[in-house]
Formats: sequence, C-alpha cells, structure tokens
Amino acid sequence: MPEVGTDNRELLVTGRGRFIADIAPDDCVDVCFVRSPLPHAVIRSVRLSSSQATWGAELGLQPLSLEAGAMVTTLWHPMPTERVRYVGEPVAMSWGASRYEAEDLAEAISVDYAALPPGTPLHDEAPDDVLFSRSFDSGGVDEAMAQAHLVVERTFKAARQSALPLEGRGVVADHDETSGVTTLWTSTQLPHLVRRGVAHALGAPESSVRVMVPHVGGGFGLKATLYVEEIALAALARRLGTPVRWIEDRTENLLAGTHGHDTRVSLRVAVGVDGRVHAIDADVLADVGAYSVWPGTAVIEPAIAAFSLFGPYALEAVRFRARAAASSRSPVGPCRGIGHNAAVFATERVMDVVAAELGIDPLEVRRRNAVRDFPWTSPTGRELDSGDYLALIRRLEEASNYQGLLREQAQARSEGRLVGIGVSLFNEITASGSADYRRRGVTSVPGTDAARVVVTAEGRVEIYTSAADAGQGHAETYRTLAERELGLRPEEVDVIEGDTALCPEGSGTFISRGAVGVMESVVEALRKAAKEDFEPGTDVTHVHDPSQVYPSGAHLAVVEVDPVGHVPHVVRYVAIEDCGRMLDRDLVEGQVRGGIAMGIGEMLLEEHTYSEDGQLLTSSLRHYLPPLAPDVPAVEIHHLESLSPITALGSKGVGEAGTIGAFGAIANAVVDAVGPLGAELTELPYSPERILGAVRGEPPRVAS
Amino acid sequence: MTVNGSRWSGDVPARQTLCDFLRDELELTGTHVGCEQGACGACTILGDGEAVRSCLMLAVQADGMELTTIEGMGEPGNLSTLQAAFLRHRAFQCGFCTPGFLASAAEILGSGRRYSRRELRDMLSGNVCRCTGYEPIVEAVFECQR
Amino acid sequence: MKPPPFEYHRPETLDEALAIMAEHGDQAMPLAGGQSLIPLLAMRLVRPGRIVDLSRVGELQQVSVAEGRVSIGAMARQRDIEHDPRMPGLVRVAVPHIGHFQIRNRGTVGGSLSHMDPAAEWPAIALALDAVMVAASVRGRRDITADAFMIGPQMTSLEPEELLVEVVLPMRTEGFGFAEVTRRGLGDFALAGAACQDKAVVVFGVGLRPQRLRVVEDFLNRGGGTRAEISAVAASEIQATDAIHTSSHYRRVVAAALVGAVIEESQARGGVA
Repeated sequence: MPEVGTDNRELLVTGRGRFIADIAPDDCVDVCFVRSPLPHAVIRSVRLSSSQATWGAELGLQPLSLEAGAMVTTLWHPMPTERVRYVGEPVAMSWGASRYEAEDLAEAISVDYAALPPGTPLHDEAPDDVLFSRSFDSGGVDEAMAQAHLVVERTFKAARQSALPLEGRGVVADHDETSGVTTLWTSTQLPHLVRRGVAHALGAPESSVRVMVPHVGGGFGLKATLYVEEIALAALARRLGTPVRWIEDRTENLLAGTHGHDTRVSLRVAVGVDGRVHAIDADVLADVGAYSVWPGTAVIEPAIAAFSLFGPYALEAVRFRARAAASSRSPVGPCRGIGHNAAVFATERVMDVVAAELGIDPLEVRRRNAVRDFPWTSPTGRELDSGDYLALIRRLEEASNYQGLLREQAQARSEGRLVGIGVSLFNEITASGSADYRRRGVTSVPGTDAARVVVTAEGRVEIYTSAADAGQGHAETYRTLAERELGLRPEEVDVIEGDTALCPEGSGTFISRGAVGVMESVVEALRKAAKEDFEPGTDVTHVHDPSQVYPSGAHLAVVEVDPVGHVPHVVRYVAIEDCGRMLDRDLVEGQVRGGIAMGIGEMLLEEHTYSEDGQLLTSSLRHYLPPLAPDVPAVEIHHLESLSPITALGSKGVGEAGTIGAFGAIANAVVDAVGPLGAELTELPYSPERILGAVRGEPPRVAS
Repeated sequence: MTVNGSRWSGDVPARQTLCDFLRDELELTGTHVGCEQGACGACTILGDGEAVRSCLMLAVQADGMELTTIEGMGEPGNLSTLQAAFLRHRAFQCGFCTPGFLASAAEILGSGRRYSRRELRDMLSGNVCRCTGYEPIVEAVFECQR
Repeated sequence: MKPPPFEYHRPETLDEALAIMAEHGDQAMPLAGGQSLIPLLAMRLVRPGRIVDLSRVGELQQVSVAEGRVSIGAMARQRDIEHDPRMPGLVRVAVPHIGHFQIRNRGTVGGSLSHMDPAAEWPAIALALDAVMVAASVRGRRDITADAFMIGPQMTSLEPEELLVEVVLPMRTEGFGFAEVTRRGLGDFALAGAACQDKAVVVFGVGLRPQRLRVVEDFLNRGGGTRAEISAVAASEIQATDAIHTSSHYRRVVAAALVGAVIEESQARGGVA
C-alpha cells in the first residue's frame, strides 16, 4: 500500500485503512470456492447446475512444474480436474452479487468423487511420497560418536500449525479488455512472485498481470506463497470481463492456507566429558502436505531445519539426511521461523539434556559450546558473519538475575509448585540471495531486493521497493533511514510498495529480508540520489543481492504448571536480541515481542489435528488456539548490536527471531517445571494433555 | 437504528449479519471480520454502549439500537484519547485487530473502574492480536484509565 | 461462511412466539442471544426455514425471587445475571466464566441451556442446583428436571414446538463450589470443570453432557473422606469421552481433582457436605 504524505498508522487506528475485503469495485461479484471434502480422491464428474459456476476443466489452467534442484519433479495442479489431494483443495467456484448468494450456488454444485485408499501415493512421480531428499556428511561423525563420553539420542516433533494472520487471504481481480491487463489486488507478501506465477499458470505474458497489495492484516509466512485462488480469480476475471472478488473465511484459512512446521528431528549427539558437543547425526523428516507449492515450498522447512541444527555451537562434524514427505494434508509453506523452530527446539532440548546428564548448569553448557570467533564457518558451510554469543549469555544471566531465579525456584519447589526455568541460545539465517536460490535450483525467486528513488518536479522524494508491508512498519523505517542517513525530512518522503506496475522487481517480504536486502537497496538508492543532490528528475534504482547473515539471541522463560489441570503459564520472559544495528528500536521490539507471543502459542497451544479419515478437526478458532492476552507476559527485551560486516548498515533482520528463540526457552522451561516428576516431553505443543501424560500417567497431585 | 450518531432506516436481508451490513451497506469498512464465530473479536463494536460481536448478530437484531463503530470514535487529525494512546504505545502493527480492541477497551474504560495490568489482560482476552504480543495494548488501555 | 436464507419472525409476546413455533414446528428455531446459533447458521450446520427472534418478548426477560427460589426468564442476559445480587452463590461464581464479557453482553441463560454445549457452565449449574426448567408451548407449560432436560451435545428434551421460558433455582448463598480448568484464561472453553451445591456434585466438559456424580454424593452422605479420597471416588465414576485436544483419561483425572477441590470449597463456604 502506498504511503503518500500521511502516516498510514493514523488511518489504521481510525478504521480508515484499506484491506483486501474493503475493495469492492462496482459490479463486482463475490466468489465462493467448492473445496474437496476428501483427503485423496479421483474426480469422476462435476455438475455445476448454474451458469454462475465453473471449474478447472473450463478454466484450462496449466499445472505448474516445480523446479528446485534436489526435489523430485512433481506438478502443482491449481484447480485440479482429475484428482484432489487434500481436504480443502479448491475444485470449483461459484459467484453471485454477494458472498451469501455465491455460497447458495456453491451448494448446488455437485462433485462426484471416488476416494482413493489410504497409502496411495499422492504423485505418480514420487511413488514413495518423498518430494525432496538431501544428505550431507562433513566426515568424522562416526569417529566422534565412538570417542564420545556421552551419546544423547532423542527424537522431537514440531506440530503442524497455522501462521494465522488475523486477516485471512483475499483476492480482487479485474480484467481490462482494452489494455489486456488483469489487475490483481491480493493480500500477499510477494507481489512480484505472484505476478510471475499467475502469468505462468494463465499462459499469459507477465506484462499482462499487475499485482497490487492493499493493507495487509498480517502475513507471518502464510501469505508468502502463490495460491490457487489468485490464479483462479485472475482466470475468472478474464473470462467474465467483470471484477471478481474472493475473501477467505476463517475455515478456509485454517483448511487451505498453507500450514507450517510439522517436522520430526531425530538426533544422535556426541558429547565430551566437559559437555562439549563434537558431532551430530540427524534425520529430519518434514510432512509438507499434498504439494510442493510453486516455486517449490517442500524444500524449505526440512532444509532450513537440518542446516540450522546446533546453529550457534562450534560443532566439528555433522551428518544429516533431510526429507520432505507428501501427505494428503494442506501444503506446508513458510511460517514465521520456518525450519529454525524445529531445529532450535531439538537443539536446545538436547543442550539441557547434556547439562542434566553431566551436572553442568544450562547456561554454562551453552557457554562452553558457543562459537567464539567470527566470522566462523560451520561444518555445513554456513558462514556466520558476526555475533557475540558469550555476551548474549552474560547479558541474559544478568538481566534475568539468573542466580536469584534459581533460588526462587528452589523455594517454590519446596512448596510443591511446578516452576521451571528454560534458556535458549540461537541464531538464524536471514535474507537468502540469488546465489543461494540458484544453488538450490530455484530460478523463479530472484533472491534480490530492489529500491527506486525518484525526486519529483516539486522536490518530493519517492521510494519504491520490491517489498510489501504487513504491519512491520516499512514506510516508517525508510523515512527514518532517509532522515538519519541523508538528512531528508520524513514528511517529504513518500513510500510506494506493493504495486508491480510501479515498483522495481524483487523477492518480496519473507525470510526476514526486510532489514537486510530491502533496507540495503533503499540505503544505496538514497545514496545514489544524494550524489545527484536530490535534484528534481533524479531517478535511480538499486538492486541488492544480499548474502546471508546471522542474527542471534538468548532467551529465558519461567513457566509454572498448575498441578491440577497441568496447564503451563509463562510467568516471565527475558530476551536478549542481537539483530545488528537497529534502525528503529520500537519497531524491532515490536517484532521481538510479537514473535515471542507467537512462539508461546506454537509451543503451548497451537496444533492442527486430523481425524483418522483425514479430516481437519481444527478448522475453527474454537479448536485452533492462538495465544490471548493472559497467555503472554510482559517481555523484558535487551539488545546487543554486533554489526554485520557485510550489510550496509550492519543490520541483520529481526522478523522471526522472537518465535525461534521461544521454541528453545519455553520447551526447556516446561520440561524443567515437571522434571522433578520425571517427565520428558518431545512432541509439540506442550499441551496439558501431553504434560499430564508425561508425568507418567499418574493422576495429578492434589495440592492441599 | 443509529450508527455513529446518524439515523438509518431501511430493509435488510434477514440473514445478513450485522458486520456485513455495516461494511457492505453502510460502507463502514473499519469493522473487520476475522472469524465469523465470535472467537477473534476483530468485529467488536459498541451496541448501546456495550461491546458486542457484530458477526454474532443479524443486522435486523440491531433494529432500534445505537451503534458506534471505529469510524465514530475519532478520525485522522482528531483521535480519541484511546486511539492516541494506541498510536503512542504502538499497540498495533498490521491494524486489523485494532477496531475490535478499541471497542472492547471503550466498554472497560467506560466502567470507570481502575483495573490492574493483570486484570486488564483478562478483560482483553476476548480479542486476538497476532502482531504485538499484547503488552503495548495493555499499556495503552492502562494509561487511559487515569 | 454466511447464513442460508430463512424467514424471520420477531414476535412481541410469548403467545405469538408459541403460535409460530406451533405452526412451523421442526422448521423453526428460536433465536435468543445468538452467540452460538449465529455461527452455526454461518457455517450452515443448521438450516432452519424460520428464525424466531425472541428479543422483543418482554415476559422472557423477567427475573423474580419468591419463597426461596429464583426464577430467571430464558432471555435474561448473562451480563445482567452476573451483576444481580439476588442470584444463588453458585450462579454468581460461575457466570463470569461464560465466554468473554462481549459474549455475556448478548448471550442469554435460556440460549445457553437450550444450546447444551457439554463444556458450558449453565447446564452444570442447573444440574448441581436441581433446577426446574419450564417449557412452554401452545398446549401449556410443563416442568422438566435439569437431568431430564439435557440429553447430549446440542440436544435437549424440548419438543420442536416448545420454548424454554424460565429456569427456577433454589436460593442458596452458601455451600457451593465451582472450578474449571482452561488453557487461556477465564473466558476460554473448559477442558474440565466441576460444580457442587452441598452434596450435589456435577462435572462438565468431560463427556457428552454434564454428569451428576451419584456415587460421590453417596460417599459424602455416608460421611465422606479426605479430598484425595473424594477425588478417587469421582475418578472411578466419571464417564469421560475423548476430545480433540484432551483424552478421556485427562478429562477424568482433572475433573476428579476438581471435584475434590469444589467440595472443599463448598465446605469452607458453610456447606453441609
């Protein structure tokens, strides 16, 4: 959404924003999708029963082939005509003057399915349902295991979840016969990629599709893939010649928006007598759902998880196998912290197991293993650009009054209370560049970020970028940047994002690239414009191809479990963050705090559950449980700023760190709370059910 | 009915929910629809001064009521005290949940009681925010109690 | 997620409402506060041909106290009950747990009882207090015991043409106990709950409907025991079913622990158990 002159935040706080559901062109019809009620079935026939309905066979959409290198080549079928592969997959659509009428017409559409027996491979190209498999071996793992003082062996499972932006998805499409251009308003994090994908599926030139992004009510990764509905609406607008619109409801969002995580990590870890972890041998298996979504979502979760294991620790040898398995469930896409979450959960649990086995304090065992010298190259080839992990641990110890907390915990335990302290140390990879995508065989994602700076005749400075804001505060950040770096007055700067006709091409907003690639391109473009003294007529573009950088952090959580219901409550949370240079401390802290809240939800509450016959049982907010205000404590945030030497401003990205850190700290705090009862928890979320089960099925102690 | 101080009368389809009526008929799109089952609170408005879910009412049930939506609480350049506090505390990021929180908070503040931060967290638990982690929202409402 | 078409009626009197119900029977559904019915309509899980909006029927909103009993009209709002000092103690402590305050602003006592959510508070309150449910139709009124009223999830013994018009509760201000376990604070759905009034003990949110624990009540009548002993008796009696996020084991164990807690609480409040 462009932000010209006024501060959009005043519009948002007075209800004057413009979200996708607020866009209703004259003569626009509302669309309702008919979705598969079965997890895996052959479509035998479709009876539309109305002229205001259509399905894939009439729309003639092309399946898209997926391209990532290590991936099995499968096809992604938008609006499939032969086979459905998950409950909620769009099969047909109806339209009417209102969504009410469209739903009435949808009920009249009948689709005849023949259910396929469970176990039938989802894709002919992948008879074993494995869509991606990659192995890595640095050498030396077996030797390290043989020499180890202790080998820890554990399996952990991160749940299937929804990113659950409060605003669902939505698309408004309008085709202009004269120009031949279809304009697509869509609530997305990826304007340029959606444009490319939609054009591709329609078999039309990219220039015939314009994507515009209105205010976006949260994304968190759910809006960072191309969706069938975007393609279908564009096709329908072309067919009808009138504007069409589809606003996702919550059931659709939980059923057919991409899910996240759902990853199992099995680890063998070789540990020395001093608590040093020398080597890991890991098997990572992600259930990525029915499809790898264009341009190749299946790779991301398992690959990032495998490469992120023991991220901040100085390992000597690594071996892993990472696989993505298809299942007849909603496709898994990006979800705040993708891959990192499962890795940090497993890693940080193991670090606590090592600490307990060897009688070392959890902070001390992390101190002994943390990478100390930067830059540092991991056995898997990751180049950690910067950081000060010992300082993170030291700050955490001081800020939390760790020794005092341990004393309080001992006192609470003596009173029979179940109080746990958990810590985590983590880093994360942000801002993949083009080289990284090409190495993985992905050509559709540019990997670059771009900014264009134009000085208008009246002297206003316009900043156009390839990103799209979903509440992160891009415009505010760029204005701050323009003021601080180049002395421009914020009120003379206009920010235009989310319009492929105006903005330079780039990757979009995901993998926390905003503060790295996008910001760098804005800085460089502004600097170029400064060389021209911001003369009217100045028009410069900077494309930045970022290298990966590694923000880091250390978190501590205190959790109390109630002894009757076994409900865990987070009572204190301390976060030390190092995202490099902070441009706007308030915005950074907003990301951290919100990220931690999401982490608390995903660790303790949020879980998709399917019935034995493949139905999603958690398709409403009665059963899918985001955290509410009482579930999230006031978060104490402290900052380190170890500047990245490889970004223009030294910044490293912060959008996902809070969530990632919480996966370690909350996990350890809950296990620590019920540890005296002999409980180990390996499967998320740590629900009351699982916590009770973990205390060996004994009835809860009745406090007296 | 009266909406933000203006009288409205006319016919509505019986099945139309109040939030759809406000958005589609009156074009008051500041009321956001998040779940249509009363769980997320995004569509909360004031009905006769009380916070109600506009997705859990038929428009026809609002016959004779006095409604206030976010559009009636303030406008750019003329924010309510609470809206200004939300802005100052950064009590929203994407802004989708904000109208509902403002309506819920309006009833809480209207009670004239002073709640602790902990009590406010409980009072505000009928609205979901996925961005902020709630703390700035609690702080903004807490501050407006003075 | 939009309601299917229906005919809308808004009677002004109870007689008018009952006449509509009598004429349209199975086709009509009464609309009280709508806090449960509207989502069911929106998800098209129910599709009544007619909706009978009871909001203008003044007779159904009355609350009266007489001869040690409280009569609550079916359309009395949770919000009004919550702040009504004439209510029995169990009602006063349990009603703030019903949804969030925005829901209590619209939700009604009769609506909640007729909807019969197994995890809801009102059915449990009614069962623990031996409430009398007064049903009306054009043929007249009848009293239904709370136990006979509730059958299962969204199922009551009301006939299609009948409306629940009133709930009659004994006025008890001591000897009650109430507790529930939720994951997300006060307003969340109960994972398990227990309520008691003197020696009447109920668990809810554990099975298909709230359960009176007669064996526990006998145990209490025979002199009772320690809190742990009471919980053990409860655990063997509770009929729990599996839910999406909780097993029958969890629900039984936790509800049994809550039974011990609420009985202790009721004794502390001067109960006779």
